[in-house]
Amino acid sequence: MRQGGRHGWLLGLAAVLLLAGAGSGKAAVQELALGEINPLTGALAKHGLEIHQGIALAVEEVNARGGLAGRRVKLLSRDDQSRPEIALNQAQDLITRERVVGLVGGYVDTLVGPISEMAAKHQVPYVASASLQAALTRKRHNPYFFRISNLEGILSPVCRLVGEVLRPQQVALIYMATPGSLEFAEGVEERLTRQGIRIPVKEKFRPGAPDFSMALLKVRMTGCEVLISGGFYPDNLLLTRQLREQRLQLQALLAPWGAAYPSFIAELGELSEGVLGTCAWTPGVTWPGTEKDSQAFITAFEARFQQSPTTTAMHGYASARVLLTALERALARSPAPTGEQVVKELRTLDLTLPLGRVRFDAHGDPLDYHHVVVQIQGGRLVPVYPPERAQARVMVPLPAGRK
Amino acid sequence: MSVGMHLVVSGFSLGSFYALVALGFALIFGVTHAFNLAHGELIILSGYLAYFLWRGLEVHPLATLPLTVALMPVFALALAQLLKLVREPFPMNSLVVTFGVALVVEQALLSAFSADYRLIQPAAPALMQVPALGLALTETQVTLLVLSLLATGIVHLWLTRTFSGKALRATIQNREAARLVGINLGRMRTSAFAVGGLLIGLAGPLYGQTLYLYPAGGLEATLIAVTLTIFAGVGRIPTLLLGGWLLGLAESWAALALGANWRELVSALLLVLLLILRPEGLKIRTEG
Amino acid sequence: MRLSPRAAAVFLLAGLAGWPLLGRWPVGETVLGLACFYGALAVAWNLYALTGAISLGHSAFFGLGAYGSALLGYHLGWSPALTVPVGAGVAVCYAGLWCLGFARLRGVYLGLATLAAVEIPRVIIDNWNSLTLGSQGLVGLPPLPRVPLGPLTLALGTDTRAQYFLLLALLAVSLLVHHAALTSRFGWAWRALRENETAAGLVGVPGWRHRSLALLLSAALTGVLGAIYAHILGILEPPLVFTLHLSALPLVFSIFGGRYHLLGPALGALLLYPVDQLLLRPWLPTGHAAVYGVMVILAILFFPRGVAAWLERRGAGGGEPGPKTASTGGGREAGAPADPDPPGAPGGPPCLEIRGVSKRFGRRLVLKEIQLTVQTGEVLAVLGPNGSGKTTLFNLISGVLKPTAGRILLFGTDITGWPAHRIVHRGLARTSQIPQPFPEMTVLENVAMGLMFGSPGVPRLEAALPRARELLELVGLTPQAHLPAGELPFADLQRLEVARALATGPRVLLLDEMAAGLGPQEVIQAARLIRLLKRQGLTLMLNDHLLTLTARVSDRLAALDQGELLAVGRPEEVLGHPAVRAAYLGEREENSDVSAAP
Repeated sequence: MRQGGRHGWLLGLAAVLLLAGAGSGKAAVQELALGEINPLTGALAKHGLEIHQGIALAVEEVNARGGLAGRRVKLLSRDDQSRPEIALNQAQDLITRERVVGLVGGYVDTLVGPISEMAAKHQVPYVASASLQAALTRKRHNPYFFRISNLEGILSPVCRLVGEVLRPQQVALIYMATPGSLEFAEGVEERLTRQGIRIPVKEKFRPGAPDFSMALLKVRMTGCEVLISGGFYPDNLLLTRQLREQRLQLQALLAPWGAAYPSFIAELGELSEGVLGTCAWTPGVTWPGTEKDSQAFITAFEARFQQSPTTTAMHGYASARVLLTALERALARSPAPTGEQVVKELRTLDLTLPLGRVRFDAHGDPLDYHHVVVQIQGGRLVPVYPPERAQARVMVPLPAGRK
Repeated sequence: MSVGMHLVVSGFSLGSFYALVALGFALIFGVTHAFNLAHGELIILSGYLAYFLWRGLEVHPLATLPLTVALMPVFALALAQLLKLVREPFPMNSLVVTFGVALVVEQALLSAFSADYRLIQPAAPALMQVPALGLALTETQVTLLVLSLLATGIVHLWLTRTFSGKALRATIQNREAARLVGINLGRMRTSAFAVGGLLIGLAGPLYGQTLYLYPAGGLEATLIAVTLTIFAGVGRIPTLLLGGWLLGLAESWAALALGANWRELVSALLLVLLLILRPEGLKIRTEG
Repeated sequence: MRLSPRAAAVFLLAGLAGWPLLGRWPVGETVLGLACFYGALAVAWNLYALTGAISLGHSAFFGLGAYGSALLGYHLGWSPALTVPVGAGVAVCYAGLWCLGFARLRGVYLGLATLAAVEIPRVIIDNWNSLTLGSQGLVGLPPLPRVPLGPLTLALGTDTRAQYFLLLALLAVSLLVHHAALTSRFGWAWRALRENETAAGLVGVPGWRHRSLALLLSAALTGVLGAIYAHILGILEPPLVFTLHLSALPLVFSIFGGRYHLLGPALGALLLYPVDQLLLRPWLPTGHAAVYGVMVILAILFFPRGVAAWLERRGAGGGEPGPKTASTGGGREAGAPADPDPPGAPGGPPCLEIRGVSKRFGRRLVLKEIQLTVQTGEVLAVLGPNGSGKTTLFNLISGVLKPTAGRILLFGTDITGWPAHRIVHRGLARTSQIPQPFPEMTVLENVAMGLMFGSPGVPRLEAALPRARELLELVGLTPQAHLPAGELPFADLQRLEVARALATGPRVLLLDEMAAGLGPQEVIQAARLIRLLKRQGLTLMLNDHLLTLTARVSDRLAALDQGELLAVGRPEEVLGHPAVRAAYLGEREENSDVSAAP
């Protein structure tokens, strides 16, 4: 076929790519391969890229001071395209072919879950950067899985703020059809109901829902004073805008995931004023005693990426720091530590980072993960709860619409 | 404002939004049978153009429309040029090619504008009251209602009243017959993409003003466009708005009466049942 | 060297089986295993697409298969070996609903319905907290079992290599099904349906049954894959399985690889997936999808019919299933399906009775209470100007349309409202005024379709070919036998229509506007053919708006005008009938054809 000759090059190209890849598989013996899996494209790319930056920075820091026990750390970053089976497949490939000594990264439980299963199967330690679902650690014991975040660290300040400071009679709850958000909603409902607060509106959305107006109408009709949103960053952008456009009168809007980002303020402008969010860390809000480390991180991050770090980036950084520290300690004991040895170090680790103190319980959950409630006041993120870390009082009510 | 009024206002403005997102796709698909999966990405691109113009010049969001409306046909025509290279079977192959284009555009958006979510947002959105009817509409809702009516009306008038529009409509209804009576199908394709581009240019800024922009957001817009175009009956511009309102009202009603978690079920059942009853979409059936 | 598609498939599977044993390739077992998985998924999707239906909702079957299996494992602790088939069963049940509900939907409208149909199980599962745990998802599903295999134990759940071979085996099974679907009698029926659905009905293919069969098979395979996917992941949530992504990828892979080729869909997955996953890493994080996109675009521009089609044309195998058999088959003698019953004398018992049949399109009444009886063995011509309702009448008789009122009896059986294929099996065939070929099949295969699916039907294509050749000889199309029917000129297509209709073994044959567009010489040939068929005992009904042909051959005429039957009887009676004269000759004196009539 005449056309055949013309088009053969396409298949040829594919073959060349295949073979070109063949050589790259062999890593230098001296290097330690560390695997990272994050959603770098797709719907979750924003947070995935932030985590990636934090991890990359942590690895570069280690290499800048000579690596771990004299060995350079090679970070192998993989994109799971916001899809779990790709996360699984990347994890398997990193473990079986690249022989990574540990895995780090991961955003949302759907992507973290399969990676953790794969890590357990191959006995490779995995420190997740952002994961909340209780079932991942409690349903089945997975000794190779650790995470630096958990739901309790968010749930506790949120419910205490509502119960102790805001003290509404009725709360409306919006949440998303994901495990983390669902568990959050159930936790909030259980705790607030115990305190005698009624929850007449409880609405489940699909992440990325285009319209909240009917749920907001229910909030208006029932006269709820506080709206708690378990939505994610973009959902909260939309919710806040629609709420403000419709001039809904509220004491407070509390959105743990979303409001605590400078970009949230940048995008919404003065509509974001007064919104409450939570975070474990953000520039200006750091674990007491880590101010210098925190500032060093911000400086390094800004120099490296020409942008300010977010709380998500810090989660990436912290998870990498934790794994690298455990690796270093294991390397001090054995030149080629097994996964089990690294896990042993992780279990006994006690590290203080800007994110907070990091220690793990027997399930791999953090013992000291605490969010701070921040409020957008004057276009800045100001910690308002708990009292020992507050820099200002909670501003109520939520300013309604135009000033 | 009563609950019923709220429902109607939300339903209609949501439906108008759907229709605006679908218009460009519907026109291009009706005329050329090109299943443009990059439609959503083009809308997002148009939204980003508006976003940065609005940020840079600090003008009213609607003031960005002339630029996006002028620019997007260029991109649409470039896509038309690419699709000219596609050989038979055209509908299937155009689907896969535009799938590839969607990936490329999404990556370009990610590289150019980062993965951040962007909103186009008037600083202090007004709330418009119509006391006589007991109505209160947000600025976004008014914009959506007015522009969807205007856009649908103008496209419909163009298709039914002008010579070039009538030729295009004939092409939608029967390509072979149109060719036989001497309509230049190549020119029809070009004008469909050009006008489709205009409509995408219109939809982009409104998309950024109603939802939010991010590089992977195109899929959502494409889905809306595909659903509504087919639901309305391919090539039917006025029923597009009708179908949009029907869906918008059904979804709003479901969210209010049953809870937000059931709304997708209600819209899916509505689509499936209406398609079972009317296998060619909402359009008025003509036989014989 | 020329490889048969089957041999190419065997080589491909053998290569895949050997691949991981040869060393540490960048495309390792994991990625290749998932490529096999997607290959199997693409094949499963394509089974339905072979009938011409493009589904955008296969993730519904995938998700139901996954949930059906996972729930049993999660709540009752059953092994996946038991639950995977249950999952497939659940998927098949849902597919059954599609078969019933979406029977009338075609093209993009079917696509939209399938797209929407994913949401129904998704939302229900997402909200049925007590059973499915809703959005919380199922964590800790039982892993795939350990399979004792002689001295070896395949730990499918933990051993990567064992898992790879499982996925490879799934691909092999799906290819086997695909092969059967492409080459069997079913495969030809599906191909007939996708190439021309009306024609498929007219050669006796039961469309709904075949489309449903294809869908159920496709859903079962997709359900199995979904169930296995759930056990591999170990967790399950609605958004993991009910996604557009899982519905769309098989479509992209199939089109990329070549939809009508044995290896096409699988090849699409095996080429695209590893490239996407591994080889584009240098462009991370924000480049690989673009490179992938450009590759997809280029591939479609250069291989518009898929990579497999291109490979096949290069003679490297991976190729097309059926068509070649048509040119090589010579095999054994077919039964004599077209042998009609012993001839009956003209004016014998009625074989076709039309009782008060009306047809309405919207507000327009196209046929008004037509009363007409066709006697066994006669040639009856329906005469009428354009738009008088002749073709509509034929469409009603042959089951292409359903009458608004009235009854139609064929050999004493009420066939009103029957689908076309059942009427064909009762012994009535027709040709169409606008020819309805299967455009991509050869002329010979077109005729063979009639033999395979008409009455009594021939099980295999090869067995139908000798008789098909005879019929082509009869209508004078032997030289064109191996051309694709889509390339024939109009007149030849009309002759093909006759040959194909005869192939279904009719006792009554309806010839729709057979003389349209024929030259004088061809009209004589057609008349000769009709007389020959009559002598063989066939009852014929023709229609024409000219008298050129009908006047030569018909025993009786029926005159139709504006949907009303004006007169029936011997040609000279009818032509002499005042109403007929007024309707035809009075108004159309300038028409030389009519005035030239005897």
